[in-house]
Amino acid sequence: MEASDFSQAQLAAAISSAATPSKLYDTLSPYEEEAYLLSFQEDRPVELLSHFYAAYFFSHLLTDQIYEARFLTKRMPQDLLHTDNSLQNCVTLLRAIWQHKHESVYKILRESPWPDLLKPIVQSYDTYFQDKTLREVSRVYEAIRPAAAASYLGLDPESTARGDTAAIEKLIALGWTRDEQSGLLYPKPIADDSQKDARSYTDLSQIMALIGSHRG
Amino acid sequence: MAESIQQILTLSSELHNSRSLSKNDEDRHIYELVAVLRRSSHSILGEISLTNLSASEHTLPFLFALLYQVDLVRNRTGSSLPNDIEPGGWLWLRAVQFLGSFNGSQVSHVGREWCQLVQVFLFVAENTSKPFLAVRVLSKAILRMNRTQNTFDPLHPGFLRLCLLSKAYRYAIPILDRQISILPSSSESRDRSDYMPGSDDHAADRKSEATSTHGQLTHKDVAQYYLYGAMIYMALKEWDKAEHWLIIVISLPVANSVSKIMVEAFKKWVVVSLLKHGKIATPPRIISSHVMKIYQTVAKPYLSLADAFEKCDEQRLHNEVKLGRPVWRADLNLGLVDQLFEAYNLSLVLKLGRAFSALTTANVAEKASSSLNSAIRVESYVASLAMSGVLEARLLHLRVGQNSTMLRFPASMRSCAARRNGLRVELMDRGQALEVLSRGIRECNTDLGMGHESIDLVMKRQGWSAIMKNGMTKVNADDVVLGVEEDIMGDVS
Repeated sequence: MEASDFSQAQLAAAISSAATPSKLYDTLSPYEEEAYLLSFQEDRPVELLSHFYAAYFFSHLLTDQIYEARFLTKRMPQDLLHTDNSLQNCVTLLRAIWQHKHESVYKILRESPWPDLLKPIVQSYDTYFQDKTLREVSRVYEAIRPAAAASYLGLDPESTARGDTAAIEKLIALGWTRDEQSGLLYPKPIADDSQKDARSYTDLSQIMALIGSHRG
Repeated sequence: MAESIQQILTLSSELHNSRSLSKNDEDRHIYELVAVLRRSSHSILGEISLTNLSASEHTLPFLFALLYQVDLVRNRTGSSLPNDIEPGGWLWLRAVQFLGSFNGSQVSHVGREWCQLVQVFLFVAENTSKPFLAVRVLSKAILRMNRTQNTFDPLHPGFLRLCLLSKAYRYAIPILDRQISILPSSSESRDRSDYMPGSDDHAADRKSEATSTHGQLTHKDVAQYYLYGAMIYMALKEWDKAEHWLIIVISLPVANSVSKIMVEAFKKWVVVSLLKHGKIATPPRIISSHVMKIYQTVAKPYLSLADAFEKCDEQRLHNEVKLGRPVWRADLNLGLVDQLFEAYNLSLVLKLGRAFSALTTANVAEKASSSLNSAIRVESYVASLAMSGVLEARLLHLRVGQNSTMLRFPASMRSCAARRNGLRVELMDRGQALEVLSRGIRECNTDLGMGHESIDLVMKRQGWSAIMKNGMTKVNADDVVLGVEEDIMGDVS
C-alpha cells in the first residue's frame, strides 16, 4: 500500500466497487495502518479518517465480525471517536446490536445523518441485518405476534399490529402463515446453506482417510 | 578474502534465479552467500542501498544491510529509538518492506539475524506506543517463516503481546490456530531448519549459530505464549480454547514453586471455567497436589467467588464481586469477572431448561435473578440467546393482546441437521489436530533415525535380516536385543 492510495477518492472507489462485503473488508483492511499513522499528525485529515474508520467498521458488521468491530472502536484514535458524529453513531449502533435492541438498530441506521459516502454501505447493512434477523426469528419463534415480528424486522410495529396488510403480506410471501383467530404469525424456518454442508462433507472425508491411513 | 558488493549481489541473483536447483544445492548456495555476508566488512554492507534493492530478490543482502543500518543509526545517535527506526522512519519502512516480501527458505538459514530484526521491530512498536503498526506485518512474516513446520518460535510471545496491547486479536488467530508440534530445545532453538550439508567448517558455524542466545527458548517463553494466547481467546469469548490454553499453563512442569505466570493463569482459569461451564471444571490430574495447594492459597478470592456462583447465591455473588474489585483490578481480571453476571443468568436459564421442557416467561421471571425480574426482560434475554445460537430454545407467543410467552427447551428440539453439523465441525477440529500430531510424529521419527531406511540399516548391521529369515530361538533373540541396545548407545556416545 502506498500513502498516495489513501484518499477520499480511493475510499469512495473502494466502497462502490467492492463486489462483496468480504472484498470490501479485504480492500480496507491494509489501510488501517496508514490511517493509524495519519491520526498522529497535527494536520490530520479528519474527514478522511472519519469516513475510513466508519466504512471499515461497517465492513466488519457486514462480515459478521461483531467482536472485531468492537475492538476496532478501541483502536480508533479515541479523541476522534469522541468528537466525530459518524463514529459516535457507529458506537451507538454497536451498542444496540450488542444488546439485541433491534428497533434501535434500525432507527440509528435510518435516521442518523450519515455522510453521502457512507450511505450505500449503511443501506447494505440495513438489508443485511434485516435478512439475518429474519433467519433468526424464523428459527427461534414458533409463533409470534405481528407487532413483535415487525419490531424485529424494522417494519412499523403499530401499523403491523393494526393489520397493515402490506407488511404482513411481505412475511406471508416468505412462507410465514397467519392464524386469523389468534392473530399470530407462524414463521417458516429458512433452510441452512447447502454449500457449507457439502464442503464439510469433503473435509470430513479427508479426515477419515487420514485416520484410515494411520490404522496400519 | 575481500568481498565486494558486486559479488554479493551476483550470488544473491543467482540464488533467486536458480529455480531448478535441488534442495541440497540451494542450501549450499545459501550457505555460501551467508558466509560471504557474515565476513563482509561494515563498509561493504554500508554500500548496499536498501532503497533500490528488492527484498524478495535479494533477501539475505537486504537483511544484513538493514541490520547494519539499524546498528549504525543507533550508535550514531546513542539512542535505542532514533527517529529513523520509529514507525514512519525510513528504516522502519524498509523493515516493513522486508517483512512483507522476504524469501522464507533463505531467511530460515539466518535465524540469528531474523530474530535480531524481529526483536528490533517488536521493541520499536511497543516502545513508541504504536504496537498496532507491527501486528499485521509480523503475523504474515511469522506464518511465512513457519509455512511447513508448526515450530514454536521464541518470538511468538512477543508478537502475541503486541496483539494484546493493540487490541488487534484477529492477526493472532492464524498463528494461534496452528497446533504447535515442535518445541525446539535451547541448543537447537532457532536453527532447527538450518541444515546445511557441507564441510566441518560449516558444521562449526552452524554450532556457533545454534548456541546463539537470540533464539533460546525458556520456560517463561512457553508459559507466556500460552497465557497470552488464552487472553486473546478470552477477548474473543472463545471460552473452550481459552480454557484449554490456560490448562496448558497451569499444568506446566515445575521444580519447586510455581511461577507468577502460572498463578495468573490459574486465576483466569477459575473465572473462564465459570463462564464456560457455570462451575469450576475438574483440574487436570497432571497438576501435583502441592502445586494445587499453592494455587488454592494464592487464588482464594477467586475460589470464594466461584463458590457463590456455584451455589446460586446471587446476593453473595454480588457482594464477592464488589468486595474483590481491587483484587480483580490489580490482576487485570475486572472485565472477565464482570461477565459473570451474564453467565449467572445463562446458567440459571440452562438449569431451568434442563428441569422443564416448557414454561412461561413469567415463571422464569419468578425463579431467575434480579436482573431478569419481568416477563418482558426474560423474553428479550432468552430470545437474544436463542437467536445468537447460545441456547437451544424456541419461543411461542400465546395470543395477540397478551404479553405472556411460552419457552420450550426440549433437548430433542435441536434439529438433526444442526447436531450433525456440530459434530462435523468438532470432528474437523479433532482431525486437524490429528494431522498435526501425525506430522510431528513423522518428523520426530526422521530426527531419531526411525525411518524405514534407518531401521533397515540398523537391522542389517546387526544381522537381524538373517535371523528374521532363519527364525529366532529365545536365546538368540535376547542376544540380539542386547546387542542392538549396546550398539545404539555406542552410536550416541
